[in-house]
Amino acid sequence: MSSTIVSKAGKTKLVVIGNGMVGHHFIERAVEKGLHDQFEIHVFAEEDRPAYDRVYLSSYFEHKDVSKLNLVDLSRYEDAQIQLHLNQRITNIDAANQCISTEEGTQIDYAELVLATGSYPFVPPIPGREHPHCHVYRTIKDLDDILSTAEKPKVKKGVVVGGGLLGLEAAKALVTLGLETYVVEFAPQLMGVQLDAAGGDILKRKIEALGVKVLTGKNTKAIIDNTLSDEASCHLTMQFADDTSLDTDMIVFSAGIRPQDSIIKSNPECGIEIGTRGGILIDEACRTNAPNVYAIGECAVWDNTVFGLVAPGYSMASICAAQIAGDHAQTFTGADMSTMLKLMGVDVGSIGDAHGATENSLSYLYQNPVEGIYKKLVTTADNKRLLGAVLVGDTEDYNNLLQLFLNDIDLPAHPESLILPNVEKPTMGIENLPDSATICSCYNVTKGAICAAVEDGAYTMAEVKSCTSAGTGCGGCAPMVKDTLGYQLTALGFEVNNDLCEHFAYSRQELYSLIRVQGIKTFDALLDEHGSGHGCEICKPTVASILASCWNDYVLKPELTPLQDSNDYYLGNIQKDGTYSVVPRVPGGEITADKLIILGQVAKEFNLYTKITGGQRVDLFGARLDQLPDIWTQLVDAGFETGHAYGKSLRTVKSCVGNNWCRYGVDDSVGLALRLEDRYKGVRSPHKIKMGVSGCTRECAEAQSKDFGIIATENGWNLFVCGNGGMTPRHGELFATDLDTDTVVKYIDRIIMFYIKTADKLQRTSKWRESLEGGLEYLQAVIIEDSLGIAEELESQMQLLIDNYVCEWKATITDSEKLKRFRHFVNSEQGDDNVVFVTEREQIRPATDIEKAKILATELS
Amino acid sequence: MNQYVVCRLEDILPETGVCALIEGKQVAIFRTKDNKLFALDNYDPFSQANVLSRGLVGGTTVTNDGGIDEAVLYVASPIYKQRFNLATGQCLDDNSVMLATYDVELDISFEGNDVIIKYEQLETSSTTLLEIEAV
Ligand code: SRM
Ligand SMILES: Cc1cc2nc3c(=O)[nH]c(=O)nc-3n(C[C@H](O)[C@H](O)[C@H](O)COP(=O)(O)OP(=O)(O)OC[C@H]3O[C@@H](n4cnc5c(N)ncnc54)[C@H](O)[C@@H]3O)c2cc1C
Ligand code: SF4
Ligand code: FES
Repeated sequence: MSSTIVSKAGKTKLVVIGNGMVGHHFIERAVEKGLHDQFEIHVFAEEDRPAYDRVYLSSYFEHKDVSKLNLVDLSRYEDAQIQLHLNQRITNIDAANQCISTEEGTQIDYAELVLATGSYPFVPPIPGREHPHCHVYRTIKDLDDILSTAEKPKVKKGVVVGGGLLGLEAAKALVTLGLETYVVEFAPQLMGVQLDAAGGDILKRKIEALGVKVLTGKNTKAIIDNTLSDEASCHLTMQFADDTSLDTDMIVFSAGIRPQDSIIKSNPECGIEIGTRGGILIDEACRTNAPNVYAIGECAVWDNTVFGLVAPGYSMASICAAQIAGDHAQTFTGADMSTMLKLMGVDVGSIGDAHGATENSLSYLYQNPVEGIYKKLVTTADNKRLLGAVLVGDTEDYNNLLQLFLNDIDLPAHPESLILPNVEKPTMGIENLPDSATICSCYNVTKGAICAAVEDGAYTMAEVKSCTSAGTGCGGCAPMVKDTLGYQLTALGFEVNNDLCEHFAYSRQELYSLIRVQGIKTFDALLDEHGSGHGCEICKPTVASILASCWNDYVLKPELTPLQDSNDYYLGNIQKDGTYSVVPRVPGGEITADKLIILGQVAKEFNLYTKITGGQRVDLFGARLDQLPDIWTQLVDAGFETGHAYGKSLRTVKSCVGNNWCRYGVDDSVGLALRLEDRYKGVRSPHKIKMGVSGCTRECAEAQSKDFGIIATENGWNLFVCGNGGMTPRHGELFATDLDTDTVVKYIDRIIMFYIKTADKLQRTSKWRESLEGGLEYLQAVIIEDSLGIAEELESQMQLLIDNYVCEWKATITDSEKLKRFRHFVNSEQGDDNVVFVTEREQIRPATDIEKAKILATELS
Repeated sequence: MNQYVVCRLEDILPETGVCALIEGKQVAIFRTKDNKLFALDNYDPFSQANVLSRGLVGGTTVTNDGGIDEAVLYVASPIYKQRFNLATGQCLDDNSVMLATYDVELDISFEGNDVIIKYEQLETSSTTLLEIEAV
């Protein structure tokens, strides 16, 4: 089938091949320059989805949410009438006739053509590499393939071939997937492009500490398929040139990338020149040798160099768009290839000439084998300028050095002081940088641009990121962007204020410490000692929550009662009409028929609206204040406890049915859910806490969307932490694997107490985790390795809370003083005549104003 | 002037409120920690529910029309958190809303500690509903 796409309205076509990161960036720049008015723009993309963030590809394994990686706002493409053809590979270029064709034979003429085809992963020609368990690591589809192999039963081991930047990232991903992971590198060291031998060695030890086994100097000769052999324990065996071998169930090739120039290679008659090692040759205007044909991004070769990073590709995209628009002033003159490895747990940075290849350059070294730190500076012969640097194990100096390098700033008299520990470092404070200094190299954002954005009202990191794009690429510059923001805010006269409210000049965390350390038990004592004024609806409930988190006294003790929000005060959630809801605890969602019947009877007797909640229990709505004690008396008598649906405390532990019934279940998820719900019920925290326990990886309990999610595996429980549904959903992160039940409980004890200690008011664990400097690793270090030496204290503080648990409703219905509070009027037994219900779907609901007025009118008449 | 004995001081926990029914009208009465008493409508015009007596009591500083800072006490509605000046009924979050307030006193002359509301005339609590019907 062959057809032709013809332009309408006499516009000529600007055609882009490839909708990857750079191709998409080009479109944005082109639209900015108004090229869509001049041309009909067509984009051909081989992949089945619009451009996405390849740099963050690995995060897909954590959230499995394609939309989080998406870069393209399709409505903007539509507004600019950009025609995006997905799933359409271009196979031919006819440069003489200015025409290209798709695989299916559709022909498109062009006035201007931009090649943005990126690169493809290089797979060494090893026999056996076509096995379905052999993968590459470049596209979302590749990751889906890796996932489906990893999820197969009996897949336990994975090997990454290639110990470069991407290979190590892939290895980290395999670890996350729970595989026993190996990295096999041909060269004698890891990250040979960026690091020297000594740096590579330190890195190797660090990677091994992450649980990845590293084999260097291994040349793979063949991959043997064991599926047909009965004895073999693994799917594959890799045979190396030195006659050793390695068993594995899956292989991921990450042995480098090659510029994607196959359209040209397979059509040499088009005459477009390619480099000796592949790649499309371009000049400083991003032009190829063919008229009106450009190449940008990873497929392009400039001055014998392929740029395997996104920042240089973005520069090319901007330059190319400008060139086509007739602005020839900007040209491409090479790019900085400094990088910081995003790998969690291992810090590696490489700047400029890391190998000291420049003639007569000098190198300074600092090595600390005990802590696994290696730093190297490469300077000019006169010691005046920085040429390059390598940092392993400690990248604190990265941004500082990068600024010295990028801005050609004079080095201090003793350059070694820049990398030595325990010396006063001549830091490149933001104030010393020129406005022209690049802070974010991914998006080429200068200090001046960030300061201007702050001046125009971008007062938070989020706002700065969205107005300038700084920090939204590799993220390496984020600390500097933040410093620049702080610097400019101070310059504008802002004070960074973390006070709880006008009555306390302390943050929640500080108040927590004061209360804990000084043993403060009441709000008034705290206010006298550390506050001023009367208190308010912000500090009172916050302090009530901290007091409860520290001492877990009954919330309706007279001195605590006035602090509670209406919900805690009346032990129910207030509804729009001033009635309350009743939510008894149904731990893990497990309930006997008898108890269900009681719930039904109570609902019927008090005429309550009944609904199954999203938390696997039953909510009874429409209870008047004066009805609450009677309702709860019946429930407590029947063995129910309060469900704390009103408290900033544990809500529910959602569970799936688990291995007692389910044919896939590998452990007793309900049993664990019951244990957890019983243990943490009533524990007050900065915000509510939800948990989930699933009996196998099918995850019917949606545990990964909870603050704490536990999933059974053959080898024990996997613990996920800091997930969230609600307004800003966040997948829980895998915190620890293969745990026994007691360890799960121990870790959760510690994390909850640490959260209580350090979180802000009304901060869910997800936001708290995001605010933790040092991220997940830090949390793991504190909780698992006890890096702060507080684990025991956290556990005993939790034990105190557990020991002091009382069911608040049980305590309330047996106290006649407390019961007095549950009347609408202090001087009458009457109810609130403004609470009026109508019937809908056979149950009550609050009447609307109009309905109320009508009812009243009929009563009056 | 009508007088109405509502309850005893002990019936109101310091820093909280109660609701009194006075000739069909719902009045929220608050007691602060230094035993000051305040009374205002219990009806929260923002949520249209009779709930203000269940709000939290707080204090802040506001600049009055004369440009002078003064300390005020307020109650924050438990439903959508709007704040009302306990002494004047003025909503601190919306200038156009003002609640009726009532004189409330502690009578220690006879039995001691009676909370008494004094008023000229009260509207019935159904007014708001009738107004809606009229619309
Ligand atoms: C009843 C229920 C809806 C239902 O009919 O299913 C419900 C009802 C309320 N939710 Fe919810 N949520 C209910 C499950 C959920 C879930 C689903 C779940 O837990 O699996 C979520 C998302 C999961 C999560 O929290 O991560 C959820 C996310 C929220 C949020 C947003 C939290 C966030 O972090 O973004 C709020 C607002 C808040 O807490 O600030 C909220 C707040 C509320 C409040 C308390 C609003 C309020 O202040 O009046 C509702 C009153 C409950 C009542 O009167 O009893 N509710 N709410 C569910 C009760 C579950 C239970 O048995 O306790
Ligand atoms: C896991 C991973 C981590 C990375 N981390 C970093 C990092 O931290 N920092 C950094 O700077 N860079 C990083 N990179 C590199 C970065 O992703 C690339 O530099 C960037 O994606 C290059 O953009 P591009 O548009 O040139 O190529 P691509 O993004 O690969 O896009 C090319 C597109 O063209 C399509 N295409 C190819 N041929 C055709 C054809 N004939 N017809 C139609 N369409 C075609 C391809 O399918 C592809 O979608 C990383 C890459 C990976 C894979
Ligand atoms: S999560 Fe697994 S064990 Fe639990 S119900 Fe679902 S399939 Fe069964
Ligand atoms: S340098 Fe990569 S996001 Fe700024």
